[in-house]
Amino acid sequence: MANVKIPDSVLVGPEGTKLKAWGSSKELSAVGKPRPKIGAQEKVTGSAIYAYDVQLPRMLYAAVLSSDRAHARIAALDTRKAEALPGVRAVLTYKNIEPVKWEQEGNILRDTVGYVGEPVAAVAAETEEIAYDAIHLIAVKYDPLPSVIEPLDAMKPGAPQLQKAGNVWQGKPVIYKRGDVEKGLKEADIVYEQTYTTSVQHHTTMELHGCVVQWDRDGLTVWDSAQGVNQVRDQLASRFNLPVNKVRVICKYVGGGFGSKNSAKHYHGLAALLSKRTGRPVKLFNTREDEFPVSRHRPKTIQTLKAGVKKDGTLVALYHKAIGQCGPYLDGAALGARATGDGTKSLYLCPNLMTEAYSVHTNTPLLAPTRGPGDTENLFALEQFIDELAEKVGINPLEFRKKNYAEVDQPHDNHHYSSKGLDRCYDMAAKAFGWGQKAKASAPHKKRGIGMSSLIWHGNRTEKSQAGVIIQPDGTAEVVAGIASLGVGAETIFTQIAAEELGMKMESVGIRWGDSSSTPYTINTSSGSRTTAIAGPAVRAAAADARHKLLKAAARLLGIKPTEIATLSIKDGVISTGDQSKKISVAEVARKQGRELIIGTGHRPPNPEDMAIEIFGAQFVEVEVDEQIGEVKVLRAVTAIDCGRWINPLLAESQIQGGFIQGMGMALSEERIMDSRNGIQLNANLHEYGMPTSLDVPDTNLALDPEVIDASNNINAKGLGEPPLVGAGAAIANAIYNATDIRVRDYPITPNRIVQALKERSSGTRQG
Amino acid sequence: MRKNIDDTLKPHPAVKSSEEGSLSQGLAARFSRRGFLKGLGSSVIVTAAASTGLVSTPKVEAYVPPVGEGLQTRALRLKVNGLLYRLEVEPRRSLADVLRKELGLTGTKISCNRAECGACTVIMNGKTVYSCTTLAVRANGKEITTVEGLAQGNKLHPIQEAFIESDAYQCGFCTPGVLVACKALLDRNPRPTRAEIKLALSGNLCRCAAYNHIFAAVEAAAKKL
Repeated sequence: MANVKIPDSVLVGPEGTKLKAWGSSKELSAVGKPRPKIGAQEKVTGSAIYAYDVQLPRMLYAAVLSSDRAHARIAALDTRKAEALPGVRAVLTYKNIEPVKWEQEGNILRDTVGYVGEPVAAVAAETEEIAYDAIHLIAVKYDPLPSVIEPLDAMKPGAPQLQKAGNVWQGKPVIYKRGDVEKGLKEADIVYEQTYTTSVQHHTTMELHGCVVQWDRDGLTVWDSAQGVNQVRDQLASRFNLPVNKVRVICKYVGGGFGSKNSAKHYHGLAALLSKRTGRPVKLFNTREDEFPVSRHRPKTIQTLKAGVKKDGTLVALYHKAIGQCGPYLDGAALGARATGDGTKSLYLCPNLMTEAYSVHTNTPLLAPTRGPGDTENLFALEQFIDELAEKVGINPLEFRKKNYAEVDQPHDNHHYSSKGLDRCYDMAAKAFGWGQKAKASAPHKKRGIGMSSLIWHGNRTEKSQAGVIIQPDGTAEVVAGIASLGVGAETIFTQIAAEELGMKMESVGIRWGDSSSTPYTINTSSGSRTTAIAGPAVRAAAADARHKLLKAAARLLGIKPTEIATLSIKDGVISTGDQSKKISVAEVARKQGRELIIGTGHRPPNPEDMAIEIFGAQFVEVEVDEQIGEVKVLRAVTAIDCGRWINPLLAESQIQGGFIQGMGMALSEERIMDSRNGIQLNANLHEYGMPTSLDVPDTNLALDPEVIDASNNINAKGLGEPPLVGAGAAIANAIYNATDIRVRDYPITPNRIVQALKERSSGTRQG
Repeated sequence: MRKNIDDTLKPHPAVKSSEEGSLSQGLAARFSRRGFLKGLGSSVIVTAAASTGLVSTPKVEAYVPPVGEGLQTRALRLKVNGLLYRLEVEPRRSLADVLRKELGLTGTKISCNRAECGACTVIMNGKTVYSCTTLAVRANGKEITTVEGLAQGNKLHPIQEAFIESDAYQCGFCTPGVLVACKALLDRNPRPTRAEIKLALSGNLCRCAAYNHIFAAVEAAAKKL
């Protein structure tokens, strides 16, 4: 990957100059170096302020009453007792709320509910206790409407129709085709079909969803727990018909997002309306119980894969049908039809391919992007299926994947990739893991197994992004970026990027972020693993602009012609000519500039048009399965990810380790248990939901950098947030099969499912 | 262990028997632990004073919310991070809630509010407790250490230093509770094995799953102690 040609179009610099193409990270001074995060001291001392910590003078506390019916019309609603409770300042219901169109279905509160957990009423009171007391005093009488909970039931004739177009979102599946699948299947030596299911995964962010809102004559100010300040600001301005400059969203730190804290949600609207009505700031945070429906989730899916393979292992046909469950409304429904994603379409060379994805409306809570939406559900199924195909033709699973390796992006006009280091990921992870060697189990009733999976996550489309870099009068630099910090460290790597471009020390570069009214439009929201790849190049462009202006000012001071500033360079904060005959420090230039600050602005150049951008990786795991109790212990995990340049290897390692563990949770324990008669979730709490704990974590959780330099932007990075979760499930399932000869195709692979499968095998009712 | 759904679906005590059957109460009522604790009183706050000798003691004066009519309060003395506070609170309020709202110690987080996640972990008389399910009145006269009490002035505790160096957190919301649990572990066992670390932290959930770096940080801090 050493001689990657970076297109000139992404290296556009200020005033007709061209940015330097960065080489290997070893040659760089700030980028590519492990650095602890900015804000670290605040976080370890407890002084970091999250929206949940905001306490304003005269602040009221809000609580929300949620529906306990899956589908119903509100026949009677009595709020008199709640209103009469001392300390209650406002009660909002569909009866008295001003018309604010919130989603396609209409007002923010309505006289019908479509899922358990849908907001019915909101209260603002002097204390949190009084607010919840008041909620308990609201009496609701529901007239039930016909409901349907399971997607397969909703697809049956006669099911209650939840949308005009029917229960299938948009009235039809999303279809993709290339070649001729039927013809391909006929040409194949082996045709194989299997069905897999994945469960709902909840984000379960540690900071609950909510906000503090102050709405007065000066405008709307929101202290939010959001993945982006600009998106929430834009949406609130639009929904409340306010000028954008009257809405301010402040969010420095977010206590976890994972996709659930994008967009303005019901709670933003209800808090805002309560604040407007009372003239007081209002704090509204979910309870943990309400959090499960309100924060939304990853869809559960039912997926069927069918493939045709030649005896030599060549994949000739692939068909993938996926049914995903979505809520009753159009909001979020598209996410139910994404399981036939880039994994199926792009990962392997296959001339004949068809995918068919159904998102099915049911009376269940709405969907939100959940770390790696679509591709995760896709690969949890596909990469088990690929292992099964490899076994059918008698080829090692890794060899099978390499044999069907795709050099070009088939669904996108066979474009070449801006980089594809998947082969390197396979090789380096297999080597580090010791692929092929299985250790001895610790007891006779325990079995060990190894497994692997590929991973893919769609890269970023061209998007606009703007950032600023200010050289302060003392010569320090300050990046300004319109982002919120989810804790992955975007703000930290922005300072690394700026320091690299400016030729300044990391310690001299700070950053301001997290306030929509004092930062540029750097990104709408941090989703899709986009922040580094979308905003990073804008930060570099802004730093290049600041550098250019610094050099021009330095040239004036040093008596160098403006046309000759290219002879100047900056290293460790000192500007000098090539022969070192003339030099001046950045601090000195800045001091002379005084209050006429040097302000660099920069925007992100578009992606090259002829390149496909995808993130790739490989994950290997070893498990031990206790066949007596069905418990699976992940002993080792090795993940290599080609996300382009690793700007900060320490933070990249954190992402990969954490992402793998979240994927492990989805593979082994996390599951929404819902009563399919009434749509009530039975495990809406952290204990019974089953996210991994410290005891479940493998001691070896290795993150490997294949050192790929990507050609799609000026920092050579593609994005890392979501990918480490995507391949975790299939790798674990494949290892369980390797250990036990049992294929569990329904996630999560709980002890119950393993014990059941073993029982079926010993009684002869199960094969494989 | 699964909760018995029949138990959880019993009408909330706030539902008068005449309303049962005709009017249903929402989910919040049915599942809320606040509901369980309800009916004990409302909140007032006074001032805190006195000190145990570290630096000069600031007077802590909190915003006084109005009291609901007919609700009762109890007097309370808390020694938090070396400072003595005198307060008056509703008996139903949790220690976490009082630390956060009345003392302004918002480092202690509330996330599950039912003793499942550990974000609210504090040390009480030498032992870690979930402050979200410890009634403030039960902490009367006890010594409490929160995350704000780990550093000595500007000097961070070795576990805090190690968390920074190892990047042992991401979003940071569980971090105060995790740090307090680590401190308690190192206080009683300065050389913990990996298995002991995992066990000591098994009551603290980290959704970002920074666990591997947390383990490394505890081991690094143990070496410095």
